[in-house]
Amino acid sequence: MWCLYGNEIIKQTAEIGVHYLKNERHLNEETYVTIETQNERIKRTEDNVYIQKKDKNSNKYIPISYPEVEIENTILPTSVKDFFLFKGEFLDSFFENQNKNFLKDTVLNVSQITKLQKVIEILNNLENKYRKEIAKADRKSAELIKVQREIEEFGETIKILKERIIKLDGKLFTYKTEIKQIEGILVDKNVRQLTELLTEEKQLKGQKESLIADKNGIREEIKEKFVNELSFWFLFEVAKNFKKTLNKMEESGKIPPPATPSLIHKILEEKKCICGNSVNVQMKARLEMLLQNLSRDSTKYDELYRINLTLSIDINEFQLISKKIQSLLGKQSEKEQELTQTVKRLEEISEKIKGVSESDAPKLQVQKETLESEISKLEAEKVEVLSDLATNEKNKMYYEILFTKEVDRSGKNEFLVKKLEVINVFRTKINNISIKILNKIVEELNNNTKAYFKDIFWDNYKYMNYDIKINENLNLEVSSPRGSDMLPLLSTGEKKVLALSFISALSDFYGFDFPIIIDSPFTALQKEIIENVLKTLMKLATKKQVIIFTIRYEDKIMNQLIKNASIVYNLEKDKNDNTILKKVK
Amino acid sequence: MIFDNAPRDIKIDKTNKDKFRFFAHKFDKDEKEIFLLAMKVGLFYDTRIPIKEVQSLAQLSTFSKDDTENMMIIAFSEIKDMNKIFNGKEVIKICEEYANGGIRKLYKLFVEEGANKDDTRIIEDIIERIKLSME
Repeated sequence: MWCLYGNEIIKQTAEIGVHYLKNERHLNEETYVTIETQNERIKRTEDNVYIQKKDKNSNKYIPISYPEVEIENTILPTSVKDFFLFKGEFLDSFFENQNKNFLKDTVLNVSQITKLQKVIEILNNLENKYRKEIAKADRKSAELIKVQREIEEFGETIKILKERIIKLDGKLFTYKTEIKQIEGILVDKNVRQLTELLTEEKQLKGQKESLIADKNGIREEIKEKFVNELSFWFLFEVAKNFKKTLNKMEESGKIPPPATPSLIHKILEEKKCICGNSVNVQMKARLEMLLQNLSRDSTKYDELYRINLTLSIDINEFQLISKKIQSLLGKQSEKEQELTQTVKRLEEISEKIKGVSESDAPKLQVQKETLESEISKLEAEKVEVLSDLATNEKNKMYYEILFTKEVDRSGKNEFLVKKLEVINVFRTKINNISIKILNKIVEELNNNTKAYFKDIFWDNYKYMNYDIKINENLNLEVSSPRGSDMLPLLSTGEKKVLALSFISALSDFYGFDFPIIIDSPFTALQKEIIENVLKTLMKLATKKQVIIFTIRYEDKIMNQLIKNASIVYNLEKDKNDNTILKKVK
Repeated sequence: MIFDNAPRDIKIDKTNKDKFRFFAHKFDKDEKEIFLLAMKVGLFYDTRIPIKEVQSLAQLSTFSKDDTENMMIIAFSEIKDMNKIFNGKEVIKICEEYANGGIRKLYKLFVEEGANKDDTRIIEDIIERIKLSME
């Protein structure tokens, strides 16, 4: 898939069939793209587009020039053009503040209402012109000239006042949006509550650290007991048999072993009896006496005797260790529960305060108060301006009536007077038509944008009660059932889908069939959201031609994309390292 | 020294060296202590595996009297003759092979099967298993 950005020179007759696209670097380092067809070549550099035609005789390409078609404002208004050729990476900022008037302009342009407004302007100018002519023609009536001038001046003043109101509305909208954002940060418009939350957050963070440390301590203790104390009990069965055998040996007299010279020597050397007791002076003397009478050697049964004395396989010991570990496990569970609750509460607080520190809160509060004060001033100014406007309109009307009376009284210039009447009638009708068209467009845009968006996210309960609407300023709003502004809270992917839904809805009003061309529509999106954006594009493609540029994603997504596309091109490198366009489908 | 003909070193299988290191870190013990644990686990779960690639772990002389007594108890389960349980070569071989099997069993319990479980819960399960074996 490919797209040319910037100024295009369009051939006015048949379509251009693309056979070969090449990315070349010239000797002078200029890089350009060429598209070659059977008889023509279009060369696109960074700054310009050239068209060359193949000469039948020489077979060489010679440049041709086409009359420059004023694309903007004639075939495709600038603001609307930007709806067809845009970068997918910035789709999610479609509804940002800087784009608010852009959307309004686009709706008005697409609906051609701006043309109707131009007609009204033309009618107003004609009206002034005819009045001037009437006033000029009737030279005797200085009053008429004066009245006509008054009408003109009031008309100018009204125009200026209306423009002022638009500017004031713009500022008010901006300030109110900023206040909403600040209020979103300042919980319940109460700095004190925010401070309390911040304090609680600090305490809970400390508590969390402490709980984690306790939990880890308990875990280490359990592991320690497992290795040191519990591990012996793996040998329970064999140790039992071992002990049993030793007891039998003791019963049969094999242990303790009979005294032998080596045994006695050993005891005297170690100064310890085989039972473990130390050898005192008396015992030593007796042993030395015994040694003189002994002849046989031991066979390590002394060791076995000692082992039998010390080896304990009391199952109660196991029960005790097991209970200790169970108790530790219980404590661990309690700490884990407490930790879970602490973390949950921390998340709730974080969500409410959204990273605002204690020092930020008073600043934001001051900022908010400043904005509120500005809004009051602007609203007061707006009231004054509206009052001025009403006065001026009233005055203009008065002079218009006066003019008509003067003209009627003089009885001259009947033809021009009739023209004035016709202008008035037309103007009223066109105004009414504009209003009807706008209301109809807004209603349909509302419904279709909502339908597209909800169609994608229908299964997700989060979106089911969202209200999506276009307000009186022709800006898109997304609100919760409680009326909270949800637009800033939508994720990147959700905003992209919303933007595409709006574009899809807008496409129904085009008077001409233009494709929608998007570069990188899936940038910075998670896999699930890519699938949703893909669904939206596929829906859009049932109504409009959609051309997208994209990098390669995982097979599941690419397969879906290729399956649903009519034409697919893949950019590859050839053996000379030039980029070539290969048709995949 | 309690044993006759005992080898100087206690050996493990080279291919399991990383497992000994892993558990030494996990339980905050040295590899010698893990060896002792592994041989007991190997006996309990009846998994005795001959060593293929020999590597020394520690000198036998560094083990305590209690440790060597446990080795004797383990060896007795195979030898079943009190006269022969002082044969260091045989006793140590049996313990090494049980440790070889035991370390793999520990790895299976704590890493492969217990990947999503806390260590303390795995220990809890082991205790239950020991209790059952005593009944």
